[in-house]
Amino acid sequence: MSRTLLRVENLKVYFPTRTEGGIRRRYVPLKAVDDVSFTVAEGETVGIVGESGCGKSTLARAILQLIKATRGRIVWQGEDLTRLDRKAMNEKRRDLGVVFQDPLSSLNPRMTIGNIIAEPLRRFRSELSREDINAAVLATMQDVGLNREFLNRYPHEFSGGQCQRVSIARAMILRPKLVICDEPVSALDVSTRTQTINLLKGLQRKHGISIIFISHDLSVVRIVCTRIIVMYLGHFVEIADRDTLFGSPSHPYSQALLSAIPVPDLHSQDDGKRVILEGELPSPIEPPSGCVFRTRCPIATNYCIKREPVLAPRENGARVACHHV
Amino acid sequence: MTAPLLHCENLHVRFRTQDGEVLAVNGVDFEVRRGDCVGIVGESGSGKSQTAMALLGLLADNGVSSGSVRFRRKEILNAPAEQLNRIRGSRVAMIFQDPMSALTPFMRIGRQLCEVLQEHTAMSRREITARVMEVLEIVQIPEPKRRFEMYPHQLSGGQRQRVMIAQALLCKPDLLIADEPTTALDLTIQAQILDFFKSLKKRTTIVIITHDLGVVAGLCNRVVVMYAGRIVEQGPIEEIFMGPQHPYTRALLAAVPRPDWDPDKPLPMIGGQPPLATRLPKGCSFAPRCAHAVDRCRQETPELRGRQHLKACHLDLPQ
Repeated sequence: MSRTLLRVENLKVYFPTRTEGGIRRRYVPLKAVDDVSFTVAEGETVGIVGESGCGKSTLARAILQLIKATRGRIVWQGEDLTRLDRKAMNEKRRDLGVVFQDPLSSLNPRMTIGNIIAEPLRRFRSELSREDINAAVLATMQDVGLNREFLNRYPHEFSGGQCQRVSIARAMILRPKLVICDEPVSALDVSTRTQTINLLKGLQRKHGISIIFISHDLSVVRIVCTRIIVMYLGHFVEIADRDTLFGSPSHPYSQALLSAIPVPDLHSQDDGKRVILEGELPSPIEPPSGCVFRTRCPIATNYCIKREPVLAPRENGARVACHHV
Repeated sequence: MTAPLLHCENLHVRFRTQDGEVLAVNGVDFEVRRGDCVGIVGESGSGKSQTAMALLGLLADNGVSSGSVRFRRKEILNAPAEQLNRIRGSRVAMIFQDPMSALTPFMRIGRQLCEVLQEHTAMSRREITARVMEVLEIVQIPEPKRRFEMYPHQLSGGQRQRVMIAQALLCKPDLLIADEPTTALDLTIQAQILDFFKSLKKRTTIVIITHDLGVVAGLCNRVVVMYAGRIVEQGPIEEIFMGPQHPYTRALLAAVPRPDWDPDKPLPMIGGQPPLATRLPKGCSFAPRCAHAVDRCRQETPELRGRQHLKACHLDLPQ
């Protein structure tokens, strides 16, 4: 078993929100991430899947200390990131890369591609000469499949897929130990999406980095990740190995998510096994009592209203938060 | 054989921009028969949305369309606004990708829906309200009475999309054009809406525009595949999915990770980027990215040929 790189313990991220109603208005917490724990081992690719509003991006930002955690610990190589001051935290950022969803808005429009990719080096490796930096930038550009002629061009001249390569180059140039990818391919077209997925997988294998891959697209997560966490309304409902989750999903929500993937195949559509959930995601300001999924769950009982299920191991190795499976 | 409901012939759409003329749609021919559910598939910039916009005369101000579009045998391309307004919203309805920006934010849902019927029918106020409530039931919106009084921002994305569909169905249109109706929605909500579209097929003829081949697979009976402003392949859904002829269609189908794909193998991919509409290559637009391209592909633009299953490719690739 390889070493644990990141350990998140009982992490809670609450945002204060105001209720409606004039004078009686009061502050209530929006529980974006509510008491989650997981680990990432060296070289591992962990997927976090869930629909919008489930807290997956908040979780990523909390790990990066871009949002303050309300409670809990984020232990990075034995050190709790939530306790570090700003300066000490910034030093840690050299090992933490990040790729965001929207490739264009996450690149500074007034910087050239070359400067964008070089910036982490200038920030963290100030001892390097200009020539060294230039050589490293060109090597990284080659790594991610960017033409070296793009060096002095600007982000707006490129398509989404190319910009995402620039983002990936910027995240990779310091050889971080962990890269957090928040919906890195969701804004891309099918053909550029496959290119980006293959690129990320190739880089991961080549440099042995760990990846936290956040996505709502299960078919992509299956290709990229070896262990997958399913999130719903701020909670983890299932953690399982790829083959276990896709072979035999345990939690009713995982099952519904899997069957909701639109597969481009005529025969997989009408076998009557599709689970279509009723209703919509409840408000995280007033989450349902007991199990957060019970309002849409096809197998919920009265017991689910009363008691909140905890993640518990199952025979197949998955950990599932459900009273009934 | 009866005339098709919608017949689109040699449709071109051009936009004048600062960077010169953009040829967004470059000679598109297709027809939609009554009862069809046609999927128009393509990546961003393929011209699929502009095709739909041009059909209904909804192009941006700098856009010009030419060619011919006949709806129920009448020419509607570049028809005067009065003529178009008689069919838009009543005979042909459209659903857009982003329901928030397609609904008026300061009008209650009920009023927005009633307005459609006031415009297009001579129904009494009571009949109108009854019809609106009926359609809200059809689109399976929870608590329709309450939604009737609400504003768009008070609804979730899935509910707004249902309101949009309701609005489109009010006048019992002959043709419903849906432009990426589920793209902005979450997976489980998308599954709900797609399931609903399946039941909708019995009520009306549908053209659905999407980048997602998975959406088409469970829904349509015919597929049109577009690339760089042209149709590269079209035909019955079984033939497109089971025996795709055009290399782009094949690559597109192969690029979507299937549930049985070995995750440790790299995904088959299409190299390169789609061409810019301002600088289309000579010959076949897909040739620079095509693994099978020969000299002829780079010289001559292939025409869309065939009877039921049409393709625009010089090559006859083995299955």
